[in-house]
Amino acid sequence: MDKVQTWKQSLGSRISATLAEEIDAFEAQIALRKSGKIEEKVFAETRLRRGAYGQRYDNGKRHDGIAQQELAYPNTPTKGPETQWDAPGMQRIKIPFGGLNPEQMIVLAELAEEYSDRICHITTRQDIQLHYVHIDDTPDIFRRLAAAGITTREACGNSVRNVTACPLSGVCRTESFDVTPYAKAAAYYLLGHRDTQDFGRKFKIAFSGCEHEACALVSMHDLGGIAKVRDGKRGFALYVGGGLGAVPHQAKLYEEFVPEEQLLPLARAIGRVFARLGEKRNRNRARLKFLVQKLGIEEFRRFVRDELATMPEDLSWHAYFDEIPRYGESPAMQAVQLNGVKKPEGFEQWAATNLYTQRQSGYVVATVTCPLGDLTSDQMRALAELSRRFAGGNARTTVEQNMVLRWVPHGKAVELYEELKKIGLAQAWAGTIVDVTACPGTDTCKLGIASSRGLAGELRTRLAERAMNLDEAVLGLRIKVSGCFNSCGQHHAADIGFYGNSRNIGGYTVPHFQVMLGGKWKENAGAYALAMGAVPSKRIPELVSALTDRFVRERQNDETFQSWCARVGKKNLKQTVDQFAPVPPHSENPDLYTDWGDPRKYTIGDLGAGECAGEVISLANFGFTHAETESFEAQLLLDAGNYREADDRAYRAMLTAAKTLVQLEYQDVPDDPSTIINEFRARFVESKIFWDPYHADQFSRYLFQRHEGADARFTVETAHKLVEEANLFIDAAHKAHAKHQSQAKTPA
Amino acid sequence: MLTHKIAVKLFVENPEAVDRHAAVGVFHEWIQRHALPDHLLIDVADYGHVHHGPGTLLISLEANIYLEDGDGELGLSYVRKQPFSTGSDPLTDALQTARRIAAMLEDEPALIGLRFARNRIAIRLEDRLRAPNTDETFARIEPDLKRIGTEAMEAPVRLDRRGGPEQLLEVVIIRA
Repeated sequence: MDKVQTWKQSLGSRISATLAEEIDAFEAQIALRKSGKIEEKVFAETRLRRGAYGQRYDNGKRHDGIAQQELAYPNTPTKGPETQWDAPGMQRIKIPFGGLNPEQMIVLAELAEEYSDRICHITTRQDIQLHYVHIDDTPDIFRRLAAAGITTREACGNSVRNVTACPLSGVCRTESFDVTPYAKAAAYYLLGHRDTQDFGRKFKIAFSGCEHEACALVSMHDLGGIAKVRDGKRGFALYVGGGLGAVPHQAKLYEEFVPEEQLLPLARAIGRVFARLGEKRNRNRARLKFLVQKLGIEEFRRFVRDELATMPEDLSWHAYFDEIPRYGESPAMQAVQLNGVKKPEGFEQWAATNLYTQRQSGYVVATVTCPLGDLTSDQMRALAELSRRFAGGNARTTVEQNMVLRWVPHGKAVELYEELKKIGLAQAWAGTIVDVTACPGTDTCKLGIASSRGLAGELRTRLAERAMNLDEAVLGLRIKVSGCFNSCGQHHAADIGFYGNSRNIGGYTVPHFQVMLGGKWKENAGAYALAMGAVPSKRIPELVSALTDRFVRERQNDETFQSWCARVGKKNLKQTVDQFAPVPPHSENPDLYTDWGDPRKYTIGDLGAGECAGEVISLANFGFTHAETESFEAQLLLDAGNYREADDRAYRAMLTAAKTLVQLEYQDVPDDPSTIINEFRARFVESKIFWDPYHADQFSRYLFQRHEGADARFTVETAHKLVEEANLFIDAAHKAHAKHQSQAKTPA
Repeated sequence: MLTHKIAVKLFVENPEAVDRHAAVGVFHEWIQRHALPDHLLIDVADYGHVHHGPGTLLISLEANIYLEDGDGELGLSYVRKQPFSTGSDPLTDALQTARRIAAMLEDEPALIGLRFARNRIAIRLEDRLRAPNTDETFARIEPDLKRIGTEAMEAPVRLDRRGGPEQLLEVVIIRA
């Protein structure tokens, strides 16, 4: 037992070489930041691209209900602008298409109890989040995830976020085909791809099997594909430029049918156009939706087609595409029908809302309702075992913050229900008005204005009590809550949506929610809701009752909620909303002046700077940071007596710095060392940009000489010399960068 | 000790008499008045909606403090995250801190009637790397557990090891 000292040693070869190297590099970057050798902005974007996010109060300030208090964190460097090192943070874990096997579920459970608060939180984009995590623990968290085949790379920051897909893909009765392997191919092809590293903002992708169901909510994504079959051939109706946020956009149809083999190159080309033409300075206008809007879809298409025709060849997509036909799932058990099995109390209701009959005869998908997206470690571990036993290990997270177990034999549904009851996960009402979803809001998010989870929890409790007596039309509605206008709770796509804001009344700040009505969840988020006015947070449950009662009273035939809203009209609906808007004086009803689940006097003083937008860091900054990290690792290898590895790492550090410079002029420079050296020599050495007034080309010669071949003795002296040379080379590269930039600014 | 990541759970003797939700207000108020001077108190999280979950959580830099029923039994869990600065035995320090917090909770008017059992303490090692749930780990910590249990209860104790291999090593110290 004493021999095992670190997770790195313990997990060893269970982590792929690529992931191991990435995580080692991040650990080195932590060390560099602690010693002040990386700028806080660069480190912030670096950790965000690993999913390590800031959390509320991490600026060291918190309003305790009486006054703003300083949280006296130890005097350590920041982990980003106004972000204290020791402040708890959130770790987002990307789960492509929500797919989880039992081993992964068990690792998530373990991480939640060892590093977090015993809770695995499912997000509205099929990720898992752990809260209250210390940044120092993240490398080990990454290693343990990596050993289970999960990477957190690009879970945050200005990158391709988790690629989502309909959780019923592959078993859905109405889909064109299973989009799962396409989502997987896109996720891993674009992960870390050089053409997705220079975005001004995040980039979200989703895949849907059907047009008319909600599926993957394609309309609200930067890039979305809806499965189509034309003349027996698979492809996608491809949409671009959708998004929610403060300014929601419905995605535009890019092409009615993109043959499957064109999907990955086209996604890459779109990424390149976004990187090149997308806004970088104004974060509020930097999503792809603004570029599509600015150019118009026709012009955007033209840019993408030109890019497709001219971009450097990258055949690596074939490796991902070729895997697609091999994708498949296996059930744990033969299909059995639910005939003659005695049904326990509560089962019928649960089955009515939580079971979906698969297109494969005799199988069902069971939705495991997770209130507010939360599962304990014990529940997650138990669910892993149930997934193994009943579902062949085929579990997925959903954008409605639940989990589904697929391939459950229908005849085993009662048994599964009994098992779920034992672990407190047999709640019915999945996908109904009771199943309210919410972003973290003021619980943990720096941008939260009102308690979205507090409100969602309250609505869930009240609606669950009434659920049995609710009209069928009301039961089928969806409520979604965001803590602010940024829409992480997807309120625009709900029948009834809310987002947090506040109003100043009589010198007090009062938590409110903006009421959004008539959004369409189906048809891939086919229409967005209309704002109706703000109502005090504590009066929202009454408003929900009033609205749903009125809908039942006035509904004509099979009229949907959206149709009813349209027929009645905004002005008329607003009258109902406005009935709940007045706020009596504090002395009459002080409860309205606090938020759900939080007894403190309400304030918006805890709002911090959001990290959703990440930091815009130039590719050059990233390149140099990478080179410095490699140089630092070379030093560690040297200290550990691994001279050959130290030599190699120092050489790679110089190559990375040289490549970073070359990319200033030639972005698509290939990775092979000889090409980098030749381009570096021609563009920077011969032009005397990489040139020292006293030492002339001395520093560049360090790289050229090492490129000719290593000193094969690999002693402490030879390795030490090269590590020193690498440091000098990187310093010289920084100077050359500055010189290059100033020359670029000087008019000819 | 093998790890500083020690969880101490003190069980509530009379859960039926406790308004669990009141702990939210109590913990917020503790933050206001810096009630635990040796902890940097940060925030409160309410997981009352989760079945057998973390309950109400007071987050500090040094430890997570839960009034929870994770194992189906209401109790105070003190989960140490950072090493103690005293340099003494972390198991003893964790237990003493947990008992101090339990006494504070018993004194809270909002939790009037709350009583912690004096005859049982659960210890969990929240560190699979340094303290895996094995017989070897158990054998190594057994004398320490008996020692702190005997000291705390002023009586002989017996140990009840809980949980399967996938779970963290957890031992309930019971007054014999």
